[in-house]
Amino acid sequence: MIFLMTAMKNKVNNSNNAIEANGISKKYRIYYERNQTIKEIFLRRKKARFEEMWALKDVSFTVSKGSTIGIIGENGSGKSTLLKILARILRPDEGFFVVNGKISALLELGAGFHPELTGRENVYLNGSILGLTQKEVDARFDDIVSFSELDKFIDTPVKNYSSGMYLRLGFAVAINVNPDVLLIDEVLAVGDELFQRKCSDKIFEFKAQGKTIVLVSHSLEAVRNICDIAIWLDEGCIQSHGEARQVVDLYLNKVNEEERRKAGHKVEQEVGSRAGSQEVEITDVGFLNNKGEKTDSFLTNEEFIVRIDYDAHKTITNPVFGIAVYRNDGIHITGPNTKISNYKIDSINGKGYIEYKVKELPLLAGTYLFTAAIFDQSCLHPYDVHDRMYSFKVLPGGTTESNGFVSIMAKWKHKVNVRREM
Amino acid sequence: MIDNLKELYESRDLLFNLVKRELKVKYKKSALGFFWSLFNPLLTMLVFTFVFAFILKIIPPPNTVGKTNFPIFLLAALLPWNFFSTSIGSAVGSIVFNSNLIRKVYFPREILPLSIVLANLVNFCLELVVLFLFLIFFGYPFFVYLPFLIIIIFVQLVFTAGVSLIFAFLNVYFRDVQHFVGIILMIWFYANPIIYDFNQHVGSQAVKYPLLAFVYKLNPQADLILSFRDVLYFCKIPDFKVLGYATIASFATLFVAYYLFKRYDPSFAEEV
Ligand SMILES: Nc1ncnc2c1ncn2[C@@H]1O[C@H](COP(=O)(O)OP(=O)(O)OP(=O)(O)O)[C@@H](O)[C@H]1O
Ligand SMILES: [Mg+2]
Repeated sequence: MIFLMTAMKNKVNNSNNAIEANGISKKYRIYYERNQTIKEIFLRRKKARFEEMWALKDVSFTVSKGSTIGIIGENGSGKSTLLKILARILRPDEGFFVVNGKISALLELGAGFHPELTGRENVYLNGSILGLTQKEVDARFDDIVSFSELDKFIDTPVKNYSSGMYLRLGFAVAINVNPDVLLIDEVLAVGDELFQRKCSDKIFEFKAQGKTIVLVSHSLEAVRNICDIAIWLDEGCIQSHGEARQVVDLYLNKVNEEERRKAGHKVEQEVGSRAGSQEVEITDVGFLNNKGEKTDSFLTNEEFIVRIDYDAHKTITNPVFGIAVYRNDGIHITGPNTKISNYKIDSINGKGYIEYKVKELPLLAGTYLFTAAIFDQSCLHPYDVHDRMYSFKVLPGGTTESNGFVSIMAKWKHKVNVRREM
Repeated sequence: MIDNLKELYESRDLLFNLVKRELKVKYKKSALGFFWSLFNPLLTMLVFTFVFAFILKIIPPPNTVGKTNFPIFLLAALLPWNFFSTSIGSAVGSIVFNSNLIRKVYFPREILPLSIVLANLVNFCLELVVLFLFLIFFGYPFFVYLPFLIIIIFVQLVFTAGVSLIFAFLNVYFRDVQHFVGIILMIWFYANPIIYDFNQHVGSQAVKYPLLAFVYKLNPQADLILSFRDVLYFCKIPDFKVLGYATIASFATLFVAYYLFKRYDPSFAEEV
C-alpha cells in the first residue's frame, strides 16, 4: 500500500525506504472560547477565540526498510503528534509522507475493548480494529492467547481482568498484527518487569524479521539499545537526526546542561548560605591524556589523569579529596576518595593540586560527568563540592567491546573435556 | 470517493465485528435478550391500538383481501419507523462516544455509525419475522410480494445510513445535536403516515394546504412507510412512483451524507 498524503504522484518514491516524510507541519488550535453547540452559536453570537500552535514544524526524514528509528524529546515536543500523523489519525497541515507497506500503530493497548465482552470476543474485535481480517485473527488466535498467557481467562468478560491482564491481551493482539511498519508510542513502559522483557524480546524478533519500527520512548536506554537511528524533537523541530547513540548523547547533554544550569543556581544559593565552609576552593579541574595535554575526549584503555587545583585559605589538616564519575543518564559508576584509598594528606595551605591517574581507562564509549570534592577528615563537612560540573567523552575505537559500561581486563579460555564421536 | 469506498470495503471485517459487538452487548445484558427487544414495539402497538382503535375509533381502510386490522396496519409502519429512529438516535453520538478510539486508532470513521445502523437492521429483520407470524396467522397473502419487501428494506437501509451519517457528523461539531435529535424524531414521527392512513387523512387535505402537502411529500421516509404498508398490510405491489422517489431521494441523501462525512473526518481526531 502506498499512501499519498497530498498530490505528489509525480514524485518518485524510493521503495527501499519504508517511510519518507517531507516537510510535515501540524498546527493545533488552542481554544479560549469555543462554540461547541448550536445553542452557543445562537446565544453568544461571538466568534470562537483561539490561538494556533505549531506542534510540528517542517519535519523531514526517511527510514529505510528494516531499520528501527527512535523518536525522543521532552514532554510536548510533538512525538505523539508525529506518530499519529504517520498512522493517519491526524492530517498534517503541510508536507506529505509515504509509507511503503502495511502500517500498524500501537498508541494504546486494548483500544476498543468492550468490558462486557469476553477476552476471546475482544481479541476479534480489537484485531479487526487494528486492521486484521477475520481469517487473519483466526490464524493468529492461538499465538495471541499463548503470548498473553491468559488461556484460563479467555472466556471471561474483560471487565473482570486486572489492568495488567488487560494490557497483556491488548499487547498480544497488537504485536500479532504483523505489519511491515510498526509505530509504538510509550506502550512498552507499562506492565510488569517480566512482561516488559517479553515485549522487548518481541521487538527484537521484529527487527530480526526485517520489519521497520518507529519507537517513541522516554527510556533512552531502550532507544540506545533497540534503535539504529534516532530523531530528537524539540518544540516540533528536528534538533538532531542520526545514529541513535549519538542522538541520545546529544539529547542527554542538553538535559544535563539544563539540569546543571538549574542546579547551578541552587548551589550558588547554598554557597551563599554556607559561610565558612569554603576554606578550601577547587579552582580548576582538568582531564589530561598520557602526553600531559588537556583534553576532554579519551579512548577506552587510554591513560586518563584528572588534575584538581585547589586554593586553601587556611591550614586544613587531613583533607579528603574525592571524585565521582557518572554516565550521562545518571548512573553512578565510581566514587573513590583519598580516605577510602588510605592516601593521607597531612595538611594543606595555599595553592596546590591533586592528581587521580587511571592507567587504562575501563569506560566504554559515551559521555561522562565528573564530580570533584574536598571534605574534612570525617568526610561529613564539605569544603567544596563541584557536583557533576565537568564532563568528558570516551570515543569509540579504543576497544572492540561495546556492551555495558566498562571493559574489564579479562581473558577467555576454552577447553574440551570429552569429544563426542560423530 | 472511490478510494474511500475501497477502504470501507477492505474494513468490512471490522464493520461486522462492531455489529456483532453491538448485538452481543445488547442481548447479553438480560437472559431474555431478544424477547425484550420485541417488548417495546409490542407495547407501543397495544397502547396505540387502545387509543386509536378503541377510543378514537379509527378504522384503517380494508386491504386487497378485504380485511381491516389496526394492529397490523400499525406494525407495518411502526417497525420500519422504529428501525429508522433508533438507528439515528444511537448513531448520532457514535463518533463522540468513541472518541477514545478515534484519537488512538485509524480506521474509516463511517464504520461507527454504520455498524449501529446494521445492528439495528438485524433487529428490524427479526421483528419482521415475528410480524410475518401474525400475518400468516391472520391469513395475509403477503409472501407473493416478498421480493418487493426486500427492495424496500434495502432503500430504507440506504436512507437510514445517510441520515445517521449526517447526524453523527454534525454532532462532532455541535454537541447539542444529540439532544435535538430526540425532538426532531418526535416531530418526524407525526410527519409520517404511521398512526393514520395517508389517503384517508392527508390526501384529502392536500388540496386545501398545497404547500404543507408538498413539504410532507418531500420526506422520503413517508414514501418508504407507504411502500412497507402496501406490501405488509394491503398485500399489493407498492406504488412505483412512491417507491421510485424514495429510492432516488435515499441514494441522494446517502451520497451527500457520505461526501460531507468524508470531507471532514480527517479532523475528527482533533475535534472529539
Ligand atoms: N488535540 C490537541 N489539541 C491541542 N493541542 C494539542 C493536542 N494534542 C497535542 N497538543 C499539543 O501539541 C504539543 C505536542 O504534543 P504531543 O502529544 O505530540 O507531545 P509528546 O512529544 O508526545 O509528549 P509526551 O512526551 O508527553 O508524550 C503539546 O504542546 C500539546 O499540548
Ligand atoms: Mg506522547
